[in-house]
Amino acid sequence: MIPESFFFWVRGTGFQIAVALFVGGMVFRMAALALMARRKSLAEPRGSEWGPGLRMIWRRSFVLPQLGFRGKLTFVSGYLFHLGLLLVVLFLSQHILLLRSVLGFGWPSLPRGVIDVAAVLAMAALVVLLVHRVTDPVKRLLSDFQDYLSWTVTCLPLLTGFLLSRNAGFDYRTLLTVHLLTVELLLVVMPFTKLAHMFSTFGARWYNGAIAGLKGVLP
Amino acid sequence: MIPNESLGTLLAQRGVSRRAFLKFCTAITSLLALPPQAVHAVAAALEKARRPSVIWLSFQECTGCTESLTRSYSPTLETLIFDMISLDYHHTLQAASGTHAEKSREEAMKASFGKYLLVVDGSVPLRDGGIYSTIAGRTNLDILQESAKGAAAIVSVGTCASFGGLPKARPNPSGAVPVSEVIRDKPIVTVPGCPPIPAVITGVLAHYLTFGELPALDRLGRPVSFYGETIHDRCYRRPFYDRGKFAKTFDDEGARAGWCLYELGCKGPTTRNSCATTKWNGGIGFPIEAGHGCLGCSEPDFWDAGSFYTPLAAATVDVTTVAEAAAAIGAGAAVAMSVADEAKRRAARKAHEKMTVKDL
Amino acid sequence: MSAGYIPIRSELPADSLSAGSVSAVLNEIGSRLEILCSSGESWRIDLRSLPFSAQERDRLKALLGQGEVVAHIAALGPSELAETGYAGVWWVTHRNAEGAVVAELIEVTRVPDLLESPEQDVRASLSRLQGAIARCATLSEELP
Ligand code: SF4
Repeated sequence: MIPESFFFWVRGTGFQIAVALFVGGMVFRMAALALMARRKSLAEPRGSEWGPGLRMIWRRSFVLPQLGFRGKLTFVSGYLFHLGLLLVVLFLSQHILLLRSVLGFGWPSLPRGVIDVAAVLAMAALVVLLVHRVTDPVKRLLSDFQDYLSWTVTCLPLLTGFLLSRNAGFDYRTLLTVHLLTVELLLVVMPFTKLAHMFSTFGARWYNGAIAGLKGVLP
Repeated sequence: MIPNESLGTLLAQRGVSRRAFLKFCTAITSLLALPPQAVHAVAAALEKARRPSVIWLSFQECTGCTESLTRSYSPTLETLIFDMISLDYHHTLQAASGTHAEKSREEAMKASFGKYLLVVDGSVPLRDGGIYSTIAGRTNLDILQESAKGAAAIVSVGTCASFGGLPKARPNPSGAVPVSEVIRDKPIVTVPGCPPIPAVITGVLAHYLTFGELPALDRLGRPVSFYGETIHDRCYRRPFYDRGKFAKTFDDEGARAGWCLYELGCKGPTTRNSCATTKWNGGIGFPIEAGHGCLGCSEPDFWDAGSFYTPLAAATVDVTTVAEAAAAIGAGAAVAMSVADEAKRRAARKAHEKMTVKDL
Repeated sequence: MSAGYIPIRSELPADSLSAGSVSAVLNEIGSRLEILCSSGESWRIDLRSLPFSAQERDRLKALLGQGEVVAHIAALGPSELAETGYAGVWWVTHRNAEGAVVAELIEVTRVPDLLESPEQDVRASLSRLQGAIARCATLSEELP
């Protein structure tokens, strides 16, 4: 069992530190991206930027490209994972309690059964993606330490949270302490790794589309 | 009181029939969570047991623990256990007072040196030489150290004696500490709770009587048979928890239908005690049955664990302000960086242009 | 006073998750009854040691039903020993003087041993009875 004072720390000071690093780090990175000094384009715009920008967000998000089996697998797993994670993080009643205590407002939760299914799917998808990453020669070559780190820190909160919700293996206090710790680890790591894409993704897609639009290559 | 008499003789003298005694042993066996086939072994052991001398010290406390123990005034099975010990000093319960009382403590200590049980309720203040709680002009610290010398074992009754309790809550003005921080060379059983369940206090005494030794203890010195499971493990509202059915306020439809109290701040999942099985007030119920979440009163520092009504999943500290400050700092840093960047670029461009012109 | 005073209903879903524990106890009772038949060995199950909700306890009680014998003992408070619908299976409830349940057991036996008059008590009663007989004799001798 884990000493009580550590449990208090994780729920208190530890959480404050993690949130400070997460919010501070994320705001810094996003603002830095947006304010990044870019050379003024002197060329005459050959099209608009808004339409293509939005269309690119749509295309990269919802249009299935031509893919082989492995590609499809990655695609589907990626979607399942992100959807599952979103449902679990935002719609488990315990998470809403936490968010309400921080944000000051809450929203209705989803039934436990739905959350359970979402969590299992998300974890299964993560495993599939990892297997694919290490078995596919190209992907393996492209992967570096940060990819595996991101995978681990994302998977841990899901796993410990799932155990916690089943009260499996250890007592509730230990499981809750470990779960909170893994979440705090994720919060700290997120702004400074590829995981920052949780906020930059759509901005980046828009930017790609908008650039192409300005150049007139994307109507 | 004749501490040397065996319990069998004592009970026979009091006119307790054998059948009543066996019933009593059945209750004890169940209370101690022993296998029910052990009733006859328990009976044999209890019959031969000698009444131990008990000295009870009360320090920084509210007497709630003693109240809990003595609230039943008709003779019951629980009070029968009390007849089985020789309570030689308890300043709330004894008739003697002043120097007589202190003398009886000293005599009992001398008479059964090395054999008596020392029961303590309340925490011990250490700040400023321990002057914040004194008895007969002596500090609690002083009396505890003296009384512990001849004790066979110490029973810390209540959360104050076990973990410091309310007196130790932030900012702990009297420098209160639990018994275990003063006495380190004696076996100590903790029986936390604010107050502890009377049957648990007597259960520890019964175990000592039956087996002549202390029960198995966990990391915090609590008897495993009473503190082995959490309230949540044995809560009758658990099926609702498992299905995610939570009362949102104390008077909504869910609360009336007896749904889980997690969202109303129940600390049952992190609290080890036997309220859910042993229950209170003669078995009528326990707080969750009355519609209020568990406060976690038998856990260390429960006073400082955030509001009683903050759900376990929620933050116990102000995170919002921290997040706002962090966002402001992050944004400020990004702006500063981009301004610096911009300036650097402009400088570079200028330098570059000049160079090019001259070169050409 | 009882918990019935508190106007809070607690209705577990009919297909409650731990419904399995009732059938687990039934299984244990069954195998113990088998042993009672073959070797005569009796057994006790402490109901308090089981992770039962009040509903599950009631369900078990209803399943076992009511038999022919109900015995009451008044010793340090009332006790009830009732044979269930299954001969050899007894539902035993011990209460203290205040009426609170201090132990609740299922005994798999022909007769719960608490019903038998204990040896010590029998011996003590013999000497008391002999005294009474002697007193009676002197009394009748004195009578004309
Ligand atoms: S009321 Fe408390 S102890 Fe009972 S199930 Fe809910 S959280 Fe657990």
